[in-house]
Order: sequence, then C-alpha cells, then structure tokens
Amino acid sequence: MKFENENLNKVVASQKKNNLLNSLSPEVRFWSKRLFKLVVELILITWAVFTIVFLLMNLPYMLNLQELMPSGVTQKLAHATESEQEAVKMAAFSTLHLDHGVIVQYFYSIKGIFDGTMGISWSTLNPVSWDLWGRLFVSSTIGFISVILSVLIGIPLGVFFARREGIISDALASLISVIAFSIPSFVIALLLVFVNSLIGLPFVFDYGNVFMYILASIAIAIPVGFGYTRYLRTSVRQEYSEQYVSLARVKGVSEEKILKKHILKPALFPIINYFPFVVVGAFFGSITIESVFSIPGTGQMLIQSGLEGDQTTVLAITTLYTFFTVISFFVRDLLITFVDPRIKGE
Amino acid sequence: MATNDFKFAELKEENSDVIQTKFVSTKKEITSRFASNKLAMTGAILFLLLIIISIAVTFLPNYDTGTPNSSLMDIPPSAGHWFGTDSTGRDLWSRNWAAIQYSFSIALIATTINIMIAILIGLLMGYFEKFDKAFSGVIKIMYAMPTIIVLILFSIVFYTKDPIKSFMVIILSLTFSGWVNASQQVRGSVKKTRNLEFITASQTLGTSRIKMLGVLFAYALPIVIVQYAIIFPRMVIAEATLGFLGLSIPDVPTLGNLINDARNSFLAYPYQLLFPLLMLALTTVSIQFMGFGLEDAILGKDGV
Repeated sequence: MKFENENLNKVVASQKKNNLLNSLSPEVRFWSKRLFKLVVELILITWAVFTIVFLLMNLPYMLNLQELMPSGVTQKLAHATESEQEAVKMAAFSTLHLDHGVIVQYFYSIKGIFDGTMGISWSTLNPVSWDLWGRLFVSSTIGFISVILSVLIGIPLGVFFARREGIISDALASLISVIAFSIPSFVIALLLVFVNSLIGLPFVFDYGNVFMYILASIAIAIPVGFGYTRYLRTSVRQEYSEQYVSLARVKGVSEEKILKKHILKPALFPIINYFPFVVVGAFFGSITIESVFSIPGTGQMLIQSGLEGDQTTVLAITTLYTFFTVISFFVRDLLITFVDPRIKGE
Repeated sequence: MATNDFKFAELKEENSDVIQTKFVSTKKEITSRFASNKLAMTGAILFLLLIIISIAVTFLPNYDTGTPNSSLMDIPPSAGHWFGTDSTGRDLWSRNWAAIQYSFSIALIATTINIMIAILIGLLMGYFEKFDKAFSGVIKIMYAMPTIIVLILFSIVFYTKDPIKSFMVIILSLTFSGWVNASQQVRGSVKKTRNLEFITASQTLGTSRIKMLGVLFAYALPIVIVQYAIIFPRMVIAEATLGFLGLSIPDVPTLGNLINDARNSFLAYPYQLLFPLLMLALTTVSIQFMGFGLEDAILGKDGV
C-alpha cells in the first residue's frame, strides 16, 4: 500500500509540473527552454575556457620552469630599500593571493571575475577593471562599426554579382572571394596606412578622431564583407533557379519585388549562419588591427599583458571574449528562427 | 498499301549507331575536371613554381640569408640585391625565398597533424555514438575558444629563443584547435555513409570494426583532401599573424618574421614590407585557387 501511495504521489507531482509547463503558451515554453539552455552553456563553456587558460598560464610555474615573480612585484621591489624587500614582497604577494597554492589561486581568480574588479593585475597591482572598460569601449566601438560596414559592403555586392553574369563580373567576384579568404586583415590595414601616408590622411589612432575608428573598421570589414559577398552570391543564384521565382515572373511580379520580397530572406540564411564568426572576427581580428594603428584596445592589452605574464588580465579578457562568442552563437540561432520559423534550433 | 513498300534495312556495323561509353575511373574523372578548371590550374602551377623557385634560388651565387652588413643597410631593390636589403643589411631576395621554405614547412607539418587529428576524432565521433555524445561538449568548447588568443597565449607562455623548441611551440599552438572544423566535416561524412545498406550488411556479416573504420575513412577521403587545401593557407596566415605580432620562431626568416622586421620602417622603405606581403598573398591565393578547384572537382559543387 505504502509503495502505491508513493507512486501515486509521484504521478500527481509530475502532473502538476506538467500542468505548470502546459499552462504556458508553446512560445513561452520554447523560449524559456532556450534561455535556460543558453545560461547553462554560457556558464559551462566560459568556465571551461577560463580553466584551460588558467592552466596554460600557470603551467610554467606548476612545472617549476619559471620562478613565480609578477612584473608588478619586481617593480615594487626596485623602489624598496634593502631592509624592506621581504615585507614588500610578502605584501604584494598577498594582494595577488599568491601566498596560497595554485588551487586556492584558481578560486580567487574566479572570484575576481565576479566581484567587479576582474582580479588584481599582476603588472600594475591595480584592479584590471580600471583599465579594461575604457579599452573594451574602444574595441567594441570598432567591432560594432565594422560589423555594420561589412553588412553594408557585403549584401549589395553579393546581390549585384549574383544578378550580373559575364566574364568581367565573374572574375571580379572570384577576386573578391580570394581576398575574403586569403588576405589577412592586417595586410589590408597596412595597405590603408600606406595609402593614407601617401595622401596625407591620419593613420595613428587618437580617441577623439572618428575617422580613425572608421579606418580601423574598414580594415576589419573588408575581408568579412567580401566573405558575405561570396556566400550571398551563391545563395541568391540558387534561389533564382527555384520554381517559385519563375512562377512569380509569369504572374508579372516585378524583378525588384521578387528580389526584395522573396529572394533576399532565404538567401540571407548562409550569412546569418556565418554571423557569430563575423562578430568574433570583428573583436579578435582587432588584435592585429589594433597593433597596426596602435589603438589602445583590448587586443593590445591582451598581447601586452600576455608578454608581461600578467595572468589576471589575460584571464579577464579571455573570459569576456568567450562570453561574447557564446552569446553571438545564441543570437545566430535567434536570427535563424526569425528568418525561418520552421527551424527552432536544436 | 503493297507489302513491297517496306524493305529490310541493310544492317551493317558502320551504319549502326554505336554508343560507346568508356569507363572512366573516379580518379581520372577528378583529374580531368581539375585540369579543365583554369583557375585551379593557375593556382597549382603558381604554387609549384613558388616551391621550385624557392629551392632553385639556394643554388644561385648571391644566395645569403643570414649575414648582416652594416654598410649595406636599407638599399632599395637594385642589381646586386634584387629585393633590396633590410635594416641590418641582409639580402631580402634570399630571405624572402627562404621564408617561403620555412613558412611552407611549418604550414605543411601543422596541416598534416591537424588533418590526422581531425580524421581520428571525426571517425570516432561518426562511428561510436557514445564517443560522439561525450566529445560534442569538447567541440562546443573548442568552437567558443578564441583561436587567435589561444595561439598567442601558447607562443607567449612557451616562448623560447631556442629555434627547435620554438618550432615545436608554434606547431603545438597551430594544432591546438586547427582540426575542429575538419573533424566535424569528417564526422558528417561518416554519419552519412555508415547508414548505407552495404555497410549495414557487412556489419551483420561480422566485419571487424577496424576494417569498417577503414572503409568509412575511404568514403571521407574527398572531404579530407579538400580540408587539406583549406587548412594549409590558414596555417600560413596564422604563422604570418604570429610573426607580425613578434611571436614566431625567433631569428629564422619566416614570412611572419619578415613582415615584423619591416613593419616599423615600412613608410620609409615600403619595398621591405611589399615583398613579403606579396609572397604571402601569392601563396595563399594560389592554394585558395587550388582549393576551390579541388572542391569543384571532388565534391562537384560550384564554388567561387
């Protein structure tokens, strides 16, 4: 009897749960499930990347290949007198939590990500966030402009080359796809610097100059936008060969309307698929671009802190980047559902 | 109608329509399709030329990659130094061709290792359901992992002046995540072929798993070849990017190092940067053309 009761309770409980889920509309249920999945993935993937980078950065110390001596501590020691040396070192190590073992350090650096300081930098002994947000603003502004520019370059060009047939336009189209996939963006940036130096336009970054933001964005946007062009050209051509297009033509729908109303939406599919790589590329491509134009962004910060062995800064930036990456993959799924509601993600 | 209106046609062998179809093997078909693709052939010839010249140049008397010469600094291209000299007076003609050799060898080794990892993981993920489920999380993490950052971190953390160790570090960092996309392609192909009827049949007859994996690999081979042409230029570019940031093998003329050497003074001496960039563009473009051609020929897609 008791057993049966328990079972019954379970059934009732599960029914209640089902009722709760069922009472929501299917859309809400679907989106809440998706959001839950996103949060879980966000946490898990970011944590995994964080751990891998932490291990990577700590490997030389764990294997005793290198003496643990952050550059910030070295600087402090240089200013301290002979008698103070030991005390200064101890104080600096305790602010960086280096007086504990690796595992405790690991938890301290996770805590650093959450408490708003992003950890204490190994090279300045200040919170990483002091420097980070300003740099992130510069980098993400450039990233944002370049994403918009790449769409502005890619979509019209793709449609143009898809509709036009002929030797010259085909050759141009293949030239564009070659540039997209085989010329790294720093080469384009160097060319832009060279051209600007010839014309007499500025090519060194300063905060107030809008032109420099756009110039850097162009260097990122050209390969990406040309990549768009290639994908769009193929997919628009494919769409034009579909039967519904012929039907629309027979019915007398104007070419303009066919393109805008019928072709473009399904043709945008591969572009959306490509989207997270673009966003990620806009932020990470900026590492070399920032180096060319000497832009004080996160990319420069990453390289510099990496070279100085500034672990916390590297971890903070990597975590941010991973976070953005996962979110941009999620946005991709959203856009795909928006374009084609039949596909509701996996 | 009289019956003699009709006559039997004379049946002669010359008169009959003989439809002869020669059997063409897949290999021949692919080769001919590749050979008829002008762009692909241009790429292939360019690529071969680059390799041949880079080797042939070493036998010329003016070949000298190493010796700095303070009296020959920053000479523009001239009869003595065809590509000019760099800021320490080294001959850029020789260094550029040496860079092709170094960068190609790095890219070749890195690509081969990447492809081998991709085949292994792709086959296992495609064939064993459990492994697939277990490993898909890893793949997700690898996709979210910022490749360039990891590349940079690897070369920073393990930075050494020793050329051999540094070479290994570069290979290690290039093969850390270069295989992910290719492995997914192989996995897709294996998943497709393993549901074919003859595979199921031979599985029921008790063919060993290793033999089965071999067959599945043979079916994935076209994808593997195409992926080779896709990964190779990426590796060349990745090395150039690392070198550009000053993280390639130190003191060895690779494309990245040449670009890095030239970038600080390139406004004054643009030729120093122009030639390595040209070499980089020539290599990647030629392989890209070959890759597009291979894709067309093997997978039958109309790309570009």
